[in-house]
Amino acid sequence: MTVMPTAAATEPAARKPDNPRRAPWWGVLALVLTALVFLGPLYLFVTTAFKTNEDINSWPMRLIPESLTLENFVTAWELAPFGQFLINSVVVAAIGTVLKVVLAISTAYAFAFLPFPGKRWLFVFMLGALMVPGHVTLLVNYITIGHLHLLNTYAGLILPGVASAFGTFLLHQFFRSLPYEVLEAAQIDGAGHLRTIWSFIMPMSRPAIITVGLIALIDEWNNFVWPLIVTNSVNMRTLPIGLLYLKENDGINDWGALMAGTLFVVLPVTIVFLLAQRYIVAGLAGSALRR
Amino acid sequence: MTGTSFSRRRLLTAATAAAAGLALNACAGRSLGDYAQVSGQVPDKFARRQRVVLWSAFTSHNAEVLQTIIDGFNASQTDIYCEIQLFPGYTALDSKLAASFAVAQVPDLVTLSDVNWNRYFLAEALEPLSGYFDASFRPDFFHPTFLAEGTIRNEIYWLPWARSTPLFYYNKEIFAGAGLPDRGPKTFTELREWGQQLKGYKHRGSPVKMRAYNGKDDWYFQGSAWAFGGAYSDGMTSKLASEETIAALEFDRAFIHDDQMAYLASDVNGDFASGVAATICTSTGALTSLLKATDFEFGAAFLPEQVQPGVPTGGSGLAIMRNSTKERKQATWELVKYLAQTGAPEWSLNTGYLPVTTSALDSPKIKERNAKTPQYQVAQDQLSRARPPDTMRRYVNELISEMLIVLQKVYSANADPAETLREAVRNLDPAVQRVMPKYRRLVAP
Repeated sequence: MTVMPTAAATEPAARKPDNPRRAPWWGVLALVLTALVFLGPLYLFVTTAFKTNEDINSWPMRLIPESLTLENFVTAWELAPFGQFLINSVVVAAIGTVLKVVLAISTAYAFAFLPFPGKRWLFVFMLGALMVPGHVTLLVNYITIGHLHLLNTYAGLILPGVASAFGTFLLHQFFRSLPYEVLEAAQIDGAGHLRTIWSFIMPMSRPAIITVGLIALIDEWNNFVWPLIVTNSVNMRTLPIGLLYLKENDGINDWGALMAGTLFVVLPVTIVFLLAQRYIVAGLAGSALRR
Repeated sequence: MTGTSFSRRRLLTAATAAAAGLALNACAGRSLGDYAQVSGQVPDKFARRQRVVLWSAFTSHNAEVLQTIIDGFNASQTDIYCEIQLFPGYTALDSKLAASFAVAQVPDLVTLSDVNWNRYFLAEALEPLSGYFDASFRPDFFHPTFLAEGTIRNEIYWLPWARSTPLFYYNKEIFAGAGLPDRGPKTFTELREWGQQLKGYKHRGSPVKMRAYNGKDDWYFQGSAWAFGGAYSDGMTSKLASEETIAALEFDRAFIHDDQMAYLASDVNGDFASGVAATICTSTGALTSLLKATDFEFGAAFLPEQVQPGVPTGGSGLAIMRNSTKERKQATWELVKYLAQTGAPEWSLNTGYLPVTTSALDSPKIKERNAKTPQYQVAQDQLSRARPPDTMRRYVNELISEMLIVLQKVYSANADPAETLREAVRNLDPAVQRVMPKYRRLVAP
């Protein structure tokens, strides 16, 4: 997601007013240039979705379109069943994210607070999983899912991704920084593990959990290779794959329709991200990760 | 046409394909009918029919055209239901197909591009088709040049469908403005001379270049290598570093870096449509969309020659998967017949791919279109000069990616053609050695 660095970068700038001194002119210039680097492509992307083909194909480039049209959205929607893709993406991303977060919380809780034999080695083992690129396990996962007869199903799309080593690690580090006295007090008052997690750990680690959830959501939403391999029929495809259905095999691309389709893909997560961005900044920049 | 670019996604899919290649090797010599059909979705009203799964790599408008044809097939009879499963491009389909062998599930009919069907042939995954033809539907129903490309040791494995060749396109408005004749250049040398004449000419207020080069596809260079008297290979003997092939690449280098009248474009079709490039060589399959996208008149001509013509065939064809049941294959053949007899004219007419069956070549609708838009006729006439790409380009998968590196080095960084081509030959040697035993056993004449 390209919005991530901008959001993080503008945050300190917004807090600037505490500082009575004005920023030097070159600082402002540098900020404007940096902003342009991020906003330029975004501007082109969004305007192209509303431009007519004539405006898109003209040279020199028309930065300000001569006329605006919604035609591209209609074309994109007609060329591929985006409604179905959207439903699939929402189902996969929502269920996938919830399962990922629940698993990450419970695993991280166990690693952080429960004594059990071989804990240290298991933890190192889990960290090792962080180092393995997803594509190494791709074919193995595919064969497993194939033998379980789950190809071309929601379960097949979701299951291989629900264990998140990164999420577990991030939450584990956050849990370790929580005041242990509170948990001890809860234990003395008779709270079991589930009660401890639900009433103490979760409220105290809200930023970290939201961060893990958001990263999981964006991962699931943008995932391309796995859904491509594991689904067959058009009605099971997700948005990122559906988007490529708009690219021409031969000849000139209908960039307007492609960008309109891209807007369908990007808009939902962007909105979620904007709503939750203050948590994600707090979660990542706060005590969660001591890198 | 195989558009290959080095995007991250592409690389990832390629990596998947490589991993799945291992699985593909394991499928040779399996008994017939032991692979299941891939899962999918069948509407209730067709549930009782024999299901045939067609894996299509056609996207966007072409996908719509194919769906219409298949809808026609499903309505035309009561025994077979064809389900299209759609993949965004040949590379994506290739990765998925290779992976499918790992779980012993295959589709029935697959669109495979001209450079990746051979891989499945070497893995003995394709059904030999000669035995299916009968008096009512004979092999000579297909265009002989294209059919020959899918024939190995007198057995047909791959049928022509979405076939194309490169074609020379020129912007008539620019040509007229710069005082150039209204025709394509006879030779590459003439093209370069015209480039000199175009120097300093401004089209709609902006300077133009004579030719935009495509760095994501080595198909066009395969053609110009022939035109200069060179080749990629003779059988499985590399000709990449031959004097003539080097001369062809040196021509491109000089055109780009000495004359400054050609350049490496990221999207040749887009640049042509916006009038930045006066001429391009691009697939005949792009003709329909270029006609739609341009607001000026453009001409089509045969590819320039040098010492001889050089026109490679490209695009994709259809193959039936071998490891499925007899009933499935027979039903698939019914679909193939329908596609060739009824679907082919509609397909060529609406997509712009070359007519490759007698049904399409004789179609009055296509003749009428060619008379109205002569560019289509030029594309069709050039067919008599076309021939399949060199053996090594078809059987050694690494060759294309290696050639893309060569082209990009020379086109963008002005590298020495002779040196880069010699390096490519050295890099390719292990891959050639690896393919050799299988090639000797299954293909070599």
